[in-house]
Amino acid sequence: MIELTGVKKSFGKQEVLKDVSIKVDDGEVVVILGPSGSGKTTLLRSINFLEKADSGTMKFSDKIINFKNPKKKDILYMRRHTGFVFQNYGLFAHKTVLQNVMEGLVQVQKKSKQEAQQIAEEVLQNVGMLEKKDSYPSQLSGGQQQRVGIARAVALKPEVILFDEPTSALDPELVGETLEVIKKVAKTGITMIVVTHEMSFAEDVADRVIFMDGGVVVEEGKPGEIFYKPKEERTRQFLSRIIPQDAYVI
Amino acid sequence: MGNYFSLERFIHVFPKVISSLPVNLHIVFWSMLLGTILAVFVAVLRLQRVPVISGLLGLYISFMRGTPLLVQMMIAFYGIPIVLGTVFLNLFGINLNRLEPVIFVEIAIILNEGAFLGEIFRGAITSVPAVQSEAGYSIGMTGAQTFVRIVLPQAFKVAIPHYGVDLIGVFQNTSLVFMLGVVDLLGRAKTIGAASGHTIEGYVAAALIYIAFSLLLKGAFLLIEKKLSGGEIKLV
Repeated sequence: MIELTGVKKSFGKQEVLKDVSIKVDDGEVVVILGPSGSGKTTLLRSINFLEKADSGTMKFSDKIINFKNPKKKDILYMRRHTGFVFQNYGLFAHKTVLQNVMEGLVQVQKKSKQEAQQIAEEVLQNVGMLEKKDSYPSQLSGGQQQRVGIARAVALKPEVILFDEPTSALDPELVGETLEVIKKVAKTGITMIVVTHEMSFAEDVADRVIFMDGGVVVEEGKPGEIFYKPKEERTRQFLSRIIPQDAYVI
Repeated sequence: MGNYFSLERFIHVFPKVISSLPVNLHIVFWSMLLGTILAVFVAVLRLQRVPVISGLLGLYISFMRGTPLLVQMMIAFYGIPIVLGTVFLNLFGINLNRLEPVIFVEIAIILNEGAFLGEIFRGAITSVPAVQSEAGYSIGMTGAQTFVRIVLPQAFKVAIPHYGVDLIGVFQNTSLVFMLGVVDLLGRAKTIGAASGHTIEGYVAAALIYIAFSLLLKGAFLLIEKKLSGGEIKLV
């Protein structure tokens, strides 16, 4: 379980997170929606300390971490028990696909090269990227790179995987294959927090949807409730712009 | 040309001039080795942005880049014995005035390279996209692991061509040392000219040696670049 309480973050005078609290249960898939600037990505990044939140606390397993002055040990603990999938893939440019997936297994989890390679190949097989294991990131399409990015996160067997708009840098054609892989990961029962604009994906996969705007959580609930019976006017406005009205007609 | 340039004299002086090449290479080797080490510290310290140190390093870099190398060599040659002379004599029993001039030349080039290479390294490190470090952190690597395993190898690739250009520059700048009485390629050419009354052959020999060796260095670095890029070079 991961529970954030009273998270605040400002960039200069701009207050990006104004007292945000969310809770995600084990095995739950939570999708965070919201317009740009709503703070959803910042929230996700603060969980992994890629962004340093100003205040608030995080409860994870039996640990309680204060965002104001987190211990180095706790930051490392969080990073070693969560995976992160980046919007722009973030594959190590100087390493092959296989080396990208093996890096954490060998360097962080101290597995033998042999064991790491076995795990990496298995995970790459699952995302359909085994044939490309000796390619460099620059030789792959965006969708292929993102599948490797997902494999790199999954291989480490984290308790939670954080997805930061995993498909928004992709060509429309490549979104589908990437979402399929994420769905497959979701079915393994791992806890996931996904920031995305893909509504149909959210509807299919999410156990719960959180709608954020202006640095606060506006509304949360089951995808069906949020999408078809939103309680808040702001949620309705946002959805009406994202989901074309004709979509329901067809 | 007639009397001014004689091929015979040229063939005669060439071996004499090239026999001084080791002096230049010695300077290049030690200046680059120690200058590179100094530059790594300069680059890393500059990136850490420690308040006072950062300002001092900025000043140091401005000085090194804002004054001619020859002036820096003069200051090292005449200034170091004045400032540190008594200290060295009392503490280590070394009389700085008796040291080979080449040592002061090397100190000047090392300090100069610390600044120039330091900025090259700093630029190379900052050219690696932030997401590369973030990806390293996200899989649980420590800051040091991420820097050494993810950032440095990519920065290295960016820095290599600039390093090659800089190295050739240092090699050519060694020609300044004869101003301080160090008999290098150019110094030898000049003394031969003064003794024989025929100056041009010696200088042409020196020029040819400079060109040949510079091209050699350039070729070597192209080879390294090619080897490093093997298959992939494009950074995301």
